[in-house]
Amino acid sequence: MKKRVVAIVLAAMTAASLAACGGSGSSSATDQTGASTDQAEASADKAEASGEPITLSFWNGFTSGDGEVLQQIVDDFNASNDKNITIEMDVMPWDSFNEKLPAAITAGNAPDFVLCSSGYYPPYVKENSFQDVSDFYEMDGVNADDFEENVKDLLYYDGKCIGIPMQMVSHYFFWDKDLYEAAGLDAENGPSTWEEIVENAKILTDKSKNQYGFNVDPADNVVLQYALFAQGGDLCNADETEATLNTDAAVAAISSLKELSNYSPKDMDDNTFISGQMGQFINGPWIISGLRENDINFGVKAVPAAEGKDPGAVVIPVGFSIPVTTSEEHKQAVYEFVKYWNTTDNCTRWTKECGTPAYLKSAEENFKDDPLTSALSVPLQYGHVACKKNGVSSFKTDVLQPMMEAVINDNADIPSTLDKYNAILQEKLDKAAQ
Amino acid sequence: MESKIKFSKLFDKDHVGYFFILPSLLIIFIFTIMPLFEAFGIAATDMNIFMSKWNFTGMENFIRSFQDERLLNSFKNTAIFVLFNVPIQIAISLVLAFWLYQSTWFGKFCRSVYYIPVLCSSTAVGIIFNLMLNSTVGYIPYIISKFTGEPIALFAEEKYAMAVIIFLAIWKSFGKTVIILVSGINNISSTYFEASEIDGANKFQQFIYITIPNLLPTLNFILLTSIIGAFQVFDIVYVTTGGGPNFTTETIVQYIYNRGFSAPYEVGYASAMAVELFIIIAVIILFFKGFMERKIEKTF
Repeated sequence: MKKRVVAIVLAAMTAASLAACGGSGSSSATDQTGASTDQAEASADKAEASGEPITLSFWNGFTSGDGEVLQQIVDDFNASNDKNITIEMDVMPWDSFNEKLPAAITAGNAPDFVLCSSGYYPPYVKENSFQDVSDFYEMDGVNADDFEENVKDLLYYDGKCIGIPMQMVSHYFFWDKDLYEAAGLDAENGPSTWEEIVENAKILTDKSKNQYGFNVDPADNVVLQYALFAQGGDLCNADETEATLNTDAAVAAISSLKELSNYSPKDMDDNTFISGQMGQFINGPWIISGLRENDINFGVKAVPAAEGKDPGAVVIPVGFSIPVTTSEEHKQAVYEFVKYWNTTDNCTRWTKECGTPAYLKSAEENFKDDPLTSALSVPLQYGHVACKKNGVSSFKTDVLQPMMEAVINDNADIPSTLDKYNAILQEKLDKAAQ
Repeated sequence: MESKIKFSKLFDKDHVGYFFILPSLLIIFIFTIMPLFEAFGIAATDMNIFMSKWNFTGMENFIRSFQDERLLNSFKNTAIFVLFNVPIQIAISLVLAFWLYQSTWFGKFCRSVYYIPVLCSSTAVGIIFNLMLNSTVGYIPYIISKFTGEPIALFAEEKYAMAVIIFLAIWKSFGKTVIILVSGINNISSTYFEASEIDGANKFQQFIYITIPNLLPTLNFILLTSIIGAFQVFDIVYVTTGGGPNFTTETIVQYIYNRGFSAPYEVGYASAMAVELFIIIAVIILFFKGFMERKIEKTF
């Protein structure tokens, strides 16, 4: 009998605890939305009335060393701001971020603000997930003129400002000065045209020493885009209605990449680039710390264009964005942090500690005696967001990667292959425009 | 009075056990059964991850999938993976289990060592192998280059990539299969082995005529779980080749993930492919289950 009573009590306790869990998790999305908005408004009202603290939730995907710097700046803000604002930061890998955020916005329990980059913006913009934040630039204490004009524009989508700059990165041309010198090339200045890159790649390659002259990876669309820019081409026209993969410029670009693939290792990751066996390559500023740690004597500059062409670049802006679920009061509190972030001191600190280019004119001034860091800011003046409306990633695996695999690995005829994939890209652009 | 008797019956020793499995049943219902049926529903829509503005599209996603070359390619890759991974892993594990089942220090040591990769995360394993096999900095391509003159990029060459993935998957999980088989062998009555020894059977004959037939129920379990696991392979591919080169290692689950969780986030289409995978696994499992059960019935 005793055993039976114990069994019943245990079972009842388990059922009750499960019911409690279910209760808290099963309330409808609408209820939660309503509740969270009400709570947010209530807490903001309270904060204004009595000076009580506002807590803001902040999601981003800065999981590596730069995430630690970001956390320090957030901590500094939490400790120093006079508005009783506390930011609670939740860092997760970008993949998880993009799995969780859409559902959180739909369910009405999204964070107060997030960091998002150009590669991830298109679906959120299409779904109107983020608020217009253009009024930030009119806020007291914000010097809108200090931002590079192009940098501000990169975060406008169809006239709506959906993000305020947090970081701007581009890709650059790197060369190994020691390997250049050993090959009798101009180690100080590096190449000034795309044609020189191709010529130098041939000279720098010595497969018996496992030494290579350039990086061409069919699965990576970055180098492909820079090859297109170098010849005055692009994946599609500016308003993304017409595919331009079979133009003369594209044929010239892919032909040069086909040749460069002979001077490239077949597999590569960041370890390859910092191994001291790459004479030249295109990569982002994040590789600089690895190059320094490995004592590579390197040079860096904006990727040169072909003879007589203007250079082009992809800029990847990371912006502070505010989901539509955030209340006006919390939005104003977020602006306080964004204002704090976009001060000369913090922009300079981020550039110094994370190696990304300065995008505030006042911060750029602080690096005028540092040619390497100054060089990083150059593409920000003319670069654009690649396939801004649709995002390059939506074309990467269905168009760009198979096209490059066909040309590089299967030795397919270049003009007919480009015709084939241009038609597929056009189909996708037409579908996206519907 | 009658209802009181019925209520008290709920807690008698024949029924009270149901209360103990109730939490597990609830968890299975909430996290397995409900999502399963939801996936069936979502598969018939054009829903994206934002779940806004979706329409009922009926069988459209399924029809689209039959014309999707990348899906057919990923089915082919997965089939190759299953066909090589499952039998090779079971064969290797069976031989090792028969060799190491006795409770000697050597047997215990080897079983423990073989189990270490099972404990490692797939991400860590992927990163380590990426480094070891990198053609510029990896030591394995370096050793190969001493014989061939040029380093071979094992993950980046179409002819090697799938073979390396299969090797990695086997290396990562055969330790678990060995442990299950060892416990299966230890459950076989030693009288069979003693009697066969008296009759003059050698080790090979004991393995073929005693160990394998008596292990059939254990092998049945391993076969079914290995087939299901192999069809769902994802992590090891995701962290090594990412499906490349030229999609030669892209598996079904990876393709489903790509379609569902990267732009343009086609959750409806991804669910339709997940339903197809579910049906394929169910059919294959039912076939093998029937086949193995008939074999077990004949043996015992």
